[in-house]
Amino acid sequence: MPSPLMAALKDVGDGIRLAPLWWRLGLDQTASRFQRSVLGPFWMACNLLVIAFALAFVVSALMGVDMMKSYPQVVAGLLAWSLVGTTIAEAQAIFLMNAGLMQSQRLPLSFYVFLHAQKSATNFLFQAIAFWATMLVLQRFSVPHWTLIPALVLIMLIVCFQGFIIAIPSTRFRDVAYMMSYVVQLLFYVTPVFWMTENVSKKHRWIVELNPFTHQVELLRAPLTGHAPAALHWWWTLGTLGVLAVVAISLLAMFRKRVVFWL
Amino acid sequence: MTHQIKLTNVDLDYFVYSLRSQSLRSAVFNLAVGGRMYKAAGDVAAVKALHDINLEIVEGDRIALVGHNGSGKTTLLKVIAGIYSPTRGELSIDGDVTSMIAINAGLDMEATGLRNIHKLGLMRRLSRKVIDSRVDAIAEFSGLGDFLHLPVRTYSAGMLARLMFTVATEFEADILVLDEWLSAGDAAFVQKAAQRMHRMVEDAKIMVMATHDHDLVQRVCNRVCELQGGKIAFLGSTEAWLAYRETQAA
Repeated sequence: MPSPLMAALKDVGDGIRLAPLWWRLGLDQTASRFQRSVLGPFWMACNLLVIAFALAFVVSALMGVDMMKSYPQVVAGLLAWSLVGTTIAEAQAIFLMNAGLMQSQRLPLSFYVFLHAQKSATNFLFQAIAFWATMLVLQRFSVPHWTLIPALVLIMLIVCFQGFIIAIPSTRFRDVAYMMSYVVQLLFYVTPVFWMTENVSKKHRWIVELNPFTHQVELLRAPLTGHAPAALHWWWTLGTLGVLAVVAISLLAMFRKRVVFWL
Repeated sequence: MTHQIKLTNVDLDYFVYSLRSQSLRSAVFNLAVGGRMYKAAGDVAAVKALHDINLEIVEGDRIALVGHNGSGKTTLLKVIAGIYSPTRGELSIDGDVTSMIAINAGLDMEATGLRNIHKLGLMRRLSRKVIDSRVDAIAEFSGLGDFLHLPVRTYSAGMLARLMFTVATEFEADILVLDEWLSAGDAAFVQKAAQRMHRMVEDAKIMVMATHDHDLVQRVCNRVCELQGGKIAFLGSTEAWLAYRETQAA
C-alpha cells in the first residue's frame, strides 16, 4: 500500500508526464474561448493597456509623478499581477470547471493544475507582446533582462503550488471560492502594482516589505522593464515557493482521493 | 499483455456534502432506491454506495451491470474506470481504460462534431495524424456524415450517442467502460453497435456496460452482474442470469 505522500508525489509525476496533453488542451481552450472574436486573446491585452492607462493617470495626478514615467511601470506591474495575483482568483475554479471531465476520465489532479498554469502563461505571453509593442510606440522600450526567464520559471512554480492550495479548499467549501476574488482585490491594493514603494511613508514601509506579493511582482517587473531584480526579491520568492510546495503537497496527500466527491 | 480487472472486498462510501444529513436521514425511509445512508460528522451524509464487491473481469468479457436506479451501477463503473478510489479493499486494473460514462463528457458543445472528434482523440493521447486517419471511418459508422460540420449543441441525444460510441470504439482501448446512454441511439444503430462490440472481444478486449435494456444485455454481453443496494446480488453468465430472473419473478 503506497503512503499518501508517495501517492501525492506520483500524482504530480503523472501530471508532468501528461504535459503534451495539457499543453495542447490549454491552447485549444484558449482558442475556443475567443472563438468568433477577431482580436482573440489580444482583447485581454487591450484590457491591460486601458486599465493601466487609467491607473497611471490617477496615480500621476494624486502623487505628482510624470505620467510618461509611471505608465510603463504600471503596465509592467499589472502584467506581473496577472500571473502573481489574478491566478489566485482563477485557481478556485480549477476543479469545479473541469467537474465533467473529472467524473468521466481518470487523470491526476495535478493535470488540472498544470492546465490552469498553461492557460495563465499563454495569456501572460499575449499581454507581454502587447506591452512591448506599446512601449515601442511610446518610445519607452527597453530590452527585457535575461533574468525574466528564471523569474518566470519561479513564478510559474508558485502558480502551480498555489493552484492546489486554493483549488482543494474551494472545491470542498464553496464559500472559499467566492471569498478568493475579494481577497485578491484586497491584495491588489496593498501590493505596489500601480503605486510605487518610494511614495509610501517610512512608517508604513513594512507593509510593503513583508508582503510576499511585492517581491513576486518586482521579480517580474524589473526584467520586463529591462533591469535585473534585486537579490532580496529572489530570496523572498524562493522562500515563498518552499513554503507553498510543502503546504500544497501535504494538502494533496491528505485530500487527493476526496476531491472528486466534492464536485 | 493480458488485460484484467480485479476488485477484492471493495467498499465505497460516497460523501454527500452541504446537505442537512439529519433531514436527509429522515427522507431516506421514503426512498425507493438502494444505497445505505448513515450519518457522518457535521453536515456530511455518507452513502454506502458499494459494499464488499468481489469481481474479476478477464479478457474477452463483455459484462453488463444491471440493477435498480441507485443500486450502484454507475458508482461501480467509476471505480472500474479509476475515477473513484475505493474506501476499503483492493482494486487492480491491467490495461488502458477508456471510459464513456457521461454522454457529453469532454465535449465542447459549441464546437463542431469534427472538432470534438479531434478533442476526444487528443484526450486519448493520439497524434493528430492518427485522428485524421479515422475521421472518415467515424463519419461513416456513426452515420452522421455532414452533420459532423455542425456544432454539437444542435445534436439530439441519439446523435450524441452515435458520436460518442463510435469515437469510443474507433480509437482502440483495452478496456471500454460505458454507461447506459447507448440505448439513446435508435434500433438500427444499437444493432450496429452490438455487432461492433462482439468484434471487440475477438481482439481480447474487455467491455463493462451499465444498462437497463435487457434486450441489449442478451444480445451483447456474456456475463451479468446484478447489483442490489450496493451489493452483488447475482454474478454469472447471461444464460444463468436469465434463469435467475425467472426464479426471482416467480
